Amino acid sequence: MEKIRKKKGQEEIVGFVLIVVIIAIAFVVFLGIRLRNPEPVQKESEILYQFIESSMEQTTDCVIRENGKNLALNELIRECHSFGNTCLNGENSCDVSIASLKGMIDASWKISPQDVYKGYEFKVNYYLNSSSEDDGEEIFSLVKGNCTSAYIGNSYFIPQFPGNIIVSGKICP
Amino acid sequence: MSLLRVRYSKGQFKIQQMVFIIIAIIILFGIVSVFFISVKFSSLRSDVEDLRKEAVLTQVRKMTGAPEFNWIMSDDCSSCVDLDKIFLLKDRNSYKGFWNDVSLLKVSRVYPLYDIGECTTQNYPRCNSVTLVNKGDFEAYESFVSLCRFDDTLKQTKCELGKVIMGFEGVE
Repeated sequence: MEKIRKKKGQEEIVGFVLIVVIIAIAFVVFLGIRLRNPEPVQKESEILYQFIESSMEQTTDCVIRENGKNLALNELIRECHSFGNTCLNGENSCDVSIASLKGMIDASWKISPQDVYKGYEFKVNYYLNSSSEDDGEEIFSLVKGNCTSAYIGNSYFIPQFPGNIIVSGKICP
Repeated sequence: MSLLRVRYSKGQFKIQQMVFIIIAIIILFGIVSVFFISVKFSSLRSDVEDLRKEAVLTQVRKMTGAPEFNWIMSDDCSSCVDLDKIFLLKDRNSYKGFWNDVSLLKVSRVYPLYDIGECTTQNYPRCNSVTLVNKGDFEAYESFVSLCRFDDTLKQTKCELGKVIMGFEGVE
């Protein structure tokens, strides 16, 4: 009789422990799913779009043809991608594009480990088909600091027949 | 009689046990729910804040489309503003009180920067900013634009990166 009562008590303890364990597992699974939930890492940023759009209109120092005009940055990027011509002052069109964009980024955003923004990543790629998911053909990219966590970003299209040049920018807080 | 009492207290013990387990489960789920709701609401608040900021930024940008600002030499440049036109508006008596709703309205150059800050008739265009309204006490919002004008040395249009800064009183 005593043995049966003890066994019953043990069974109840095992049942109780089992319930606790099941609840704990359910909680851990819930947390795991919640934390793994693919929330958008990128926040679309209006200010970044405005920055890229406006910077593409910047008049550069590069003149390609004799008696030609100083090219805007978007025209220079097209030139850099399609022909790779050098400017009349001897500078490469791609180098001038990179220097102009870098100058504007550095003047517009304070980026350092001590500041609000820790890094940036600007990519200028050519896509034959903008809906394709591949990385496209890289024209140039500018990277500074660490951009592994969440970031704000946006992109700007420059039509370049038969595809598009896409300037995409990320800034990481 | 005593046997009956024993049976009754054992049943009571079982009910108590069950009640404890139910209470423990409810507390556990309560804690989880509170945690979940707080995480959800904190992100919601920041999302609302972001959306409001984006809306104000869009409004600031819309300002560049006003006839007093816009650059008409190019059809496909929505981000371009006419710096010459803006400079001419400065200190113009007919425009006094025109932007009554804003506490600050300023256009500044971002890149490249010159040594001189505020533009005057003596230093224009080698200066960095044109202030049209400055009443003080405001919360400012900035929007990137292209500052365009006809450059006499280049004999062509020259656009540079700039910002339109608008300040509103009592924006929270």
